[in-house]
Amino acid sequence: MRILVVEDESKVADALKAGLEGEHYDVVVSRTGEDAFFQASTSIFDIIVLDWMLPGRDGIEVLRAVRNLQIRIPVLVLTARDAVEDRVIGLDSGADDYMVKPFAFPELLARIRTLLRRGRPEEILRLKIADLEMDLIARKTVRGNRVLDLTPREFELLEYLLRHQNHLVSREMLARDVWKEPSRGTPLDNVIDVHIARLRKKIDQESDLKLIHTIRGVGFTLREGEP
Amino acid sequence: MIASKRSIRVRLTLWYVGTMAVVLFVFAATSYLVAWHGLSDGIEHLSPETASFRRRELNELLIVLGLGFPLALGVAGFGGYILVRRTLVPISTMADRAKTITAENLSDRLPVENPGDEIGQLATVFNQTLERLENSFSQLKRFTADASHELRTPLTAIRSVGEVGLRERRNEGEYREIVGSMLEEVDRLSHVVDSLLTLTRAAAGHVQIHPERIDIGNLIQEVARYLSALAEEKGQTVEVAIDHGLFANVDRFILRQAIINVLDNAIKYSPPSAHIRLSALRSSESIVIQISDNGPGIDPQHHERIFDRFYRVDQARSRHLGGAGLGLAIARWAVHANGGSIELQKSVGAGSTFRICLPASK
Repeated sequence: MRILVVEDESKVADALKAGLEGEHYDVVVSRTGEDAFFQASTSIFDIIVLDWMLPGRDGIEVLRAVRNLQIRIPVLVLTARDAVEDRVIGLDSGADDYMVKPFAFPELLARIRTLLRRGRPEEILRLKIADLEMDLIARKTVRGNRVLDLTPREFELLEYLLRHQNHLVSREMLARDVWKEPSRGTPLDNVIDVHIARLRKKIDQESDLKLIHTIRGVGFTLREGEP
Repeated sequence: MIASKRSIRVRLTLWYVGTMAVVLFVFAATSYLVAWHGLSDGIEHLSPETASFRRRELNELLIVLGLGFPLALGVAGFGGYILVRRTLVPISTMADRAKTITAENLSDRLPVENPGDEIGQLATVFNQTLERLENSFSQLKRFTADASHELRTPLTAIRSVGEVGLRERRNEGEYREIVGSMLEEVDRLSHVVDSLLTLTRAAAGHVQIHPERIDIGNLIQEVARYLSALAEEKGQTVEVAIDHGLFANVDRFILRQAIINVLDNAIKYSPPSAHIRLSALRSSESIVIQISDNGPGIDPQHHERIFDRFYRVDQARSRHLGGAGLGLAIARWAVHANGGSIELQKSVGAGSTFRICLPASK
């Protein structure tokens, strides 16, 4: 999988490159709008991560130019501009997704995975990790031979963690995707922590193999063995 | 009206002199005509000596009037000029004083000689404007100081944790702890910046309100469900009491933020096993939402500033609990934006009650 990262701020660009390469993506970094357009129009990528504010030609101009060439690769716009109007401009110009800086890296990874998966919908009815199994139709969760009694919220939370198993999940992702909270200003971190603690009690307390792990400062992950 | 380049002093004097000229001319012309009429009536029947004497008399009168007219006009003009200047002296004093007032000495006021007259009234109005300016200026100063404090605190933490972390070689686990702790501070910083942006945009009028007719009781129940887990963890109970059919025309999302912020505070600052009550009732034309707890209450000295940005009742404790001191400021904006009002009820004894009033929709 090849990713074109367009970002002029070298620290951010380097961090993105290192982080994405750590996830086994092939990364090409472009630092100006002109170069980005040249790269996008001459070689093939699976996804473009595009900064809006660039010296010279800005990200949105590049995006429009790329779309004018009928290049239909998924584009994820990164920007410090978080007003609703800016979001609309971004999506109207042909962006597939939009992330506001400062963003959480696990969330960027999750969105890239989603964009890469797009067009290949996978109807998953059962989710599984180690001896934890979740039946989405019967809404039944089993750990080993124990049937777990989960509240609807806990069920959704666990489903989300299972869908992102082995990956990091930030509190912001949970707030937006599980709690459907559109604003970053709402004090939700404590609410999420409480629910994770309850879920952990139900899932891990009676098993030697712990599945839910907290990564300090980042979020949570569901995986077998230590992260 | 055509703006004149001449000063008010000169203009008023010219007007005065002009008016005086007309008045004096009419007066002089009338007296000459009266004299002429009296003296030349039947002059042809008089002896030549008497007739020429009368003619001389008339000529002299004409000369006296001709010389006296400009003289009288000059005296009147001079007097008028002095009078106007004296009247306008307070204005130039005001202007001189106003020139020296800058952001540094906004507490200075213009002199008011006679508060009853027009100039005194002008000075008073000007002073009231200055006072309002001074208030907003000091609010802004306090806000800047508070904001930089709030932004510097996490920055300082990031810096010292990082610097101290690099002082010696550590094992992987320790480095993970250090980076994690720095990231936690980054989260806090992002939260302050996001909240500040919300408020700044709101103050600049950049936030679009999308009112729709919503069921307030429904919203209250949703918020209570949303935060109930936090209360349960502390062994607190949240009681919800709502009238049926409470509808208001509000922006659901923005109002929701206000109620969440107030309820979150109630849970956060009330002791374990406290009792929190969330109610919504109809009161004639309005809907009254009350959020009350039986916690320690808020000292009356804080009541006036509790909704100010960054204002905290207990600095150290609030920061420890993760607040940036902006929750109630955002709540106040959110309620005002929806045409309502929010206040902290004067509480006697334990507990505090926040009351939100919204205009009810038919």
